[in-house]
Amino acid sequence: MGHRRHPWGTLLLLLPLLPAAQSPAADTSKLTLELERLEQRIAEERKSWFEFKLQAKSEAERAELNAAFPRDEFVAELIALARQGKATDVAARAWIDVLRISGWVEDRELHSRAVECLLAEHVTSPHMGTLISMLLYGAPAWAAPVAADALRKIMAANSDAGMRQECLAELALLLGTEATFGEAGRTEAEALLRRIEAEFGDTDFNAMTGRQFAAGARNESEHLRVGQVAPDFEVNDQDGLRFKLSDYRGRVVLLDFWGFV
Amino acid sequence: MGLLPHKKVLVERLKDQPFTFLGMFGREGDPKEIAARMKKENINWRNALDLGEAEDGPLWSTWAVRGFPQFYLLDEQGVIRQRWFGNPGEDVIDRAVEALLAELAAKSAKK
Repeated sequence: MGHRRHPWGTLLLLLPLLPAAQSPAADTSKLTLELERLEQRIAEERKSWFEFKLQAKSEAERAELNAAFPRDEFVAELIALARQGKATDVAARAWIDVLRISGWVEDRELHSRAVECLLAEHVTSPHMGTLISMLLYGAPAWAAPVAADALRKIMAANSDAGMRQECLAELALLLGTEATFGEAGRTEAEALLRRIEAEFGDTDFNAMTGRQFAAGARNESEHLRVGQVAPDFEVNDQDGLRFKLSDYRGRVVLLDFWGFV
Repeated sequence: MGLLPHKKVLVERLKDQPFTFLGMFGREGDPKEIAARMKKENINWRNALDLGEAEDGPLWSTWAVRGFPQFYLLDEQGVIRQRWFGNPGEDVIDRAVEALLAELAAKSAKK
């Protein structure tokens, strides 16, 4: 993962490595340590459990496995820590962890509870960057409206100009490309892109100018949104054979954009 | 690369289905070296070599790729049905592919 046109694309790999921002208001080092130990236990538990889940053959089996993960116990511990560290960095992190667990076990109720709590109590926190990437990267399609709502709230309340700018850009992309927002979403996306052109047109806008970003986002909304026929291409494969994407009409195709790290 | 074992399982499991897993390899490099490395890693599915000069290839710009992994799931008409930036979870990918294959099977049965 390296050079990318949008720096926050690199967040995919970097986020887990970022040091947690510390709240200067309270000494939370003890709580942080506790949280880290708990996170470690959760990660260990998840590892073996997820191996099983990958091998599940049916929805029933998946549901059974989802129910078998000791979520209640972990969530209770996380929430207890969040209460002790109320309004601090520890609480934000703990709720982010709850959100993560809700994704693993596909618990939408827990998912919205975590998002609501994060937006209600931590909307000004630097951890909102993590929330955004969790709601956007690798997120299920049903989470798109949740993500849009979160982006609007963070954009309105967070004091970090970079974060607000990221929200603006991501919101424009999301509304313009997800089927669920329909025509109204695309209209709003266009208005946001105009705003980006007006406010950031010539300034450095995440490794490109705002105008370039807007042009790219329009292309994405027009040609790459869900429901559009994928743009055809003709290229060589690894054996030097030429082929077209349209050669595969009649088949389900998964395009995997990747590279050796 | 964490996802590679899962890709192999997926390709192998669905090899008799009307399904194509298509790698979009978009980084600069010598095509021969890339092919050799793919062979070494037992990558036996087709990969579009979309090689850029100093960056990612031209296809990657057309497809607005902002980092990898990134996936697009297309139905039998070539229509984009899902897109993921980042890894949505191996199980999520599996199920989306299977759901689309089931849809296709149902359509074919009607004809």
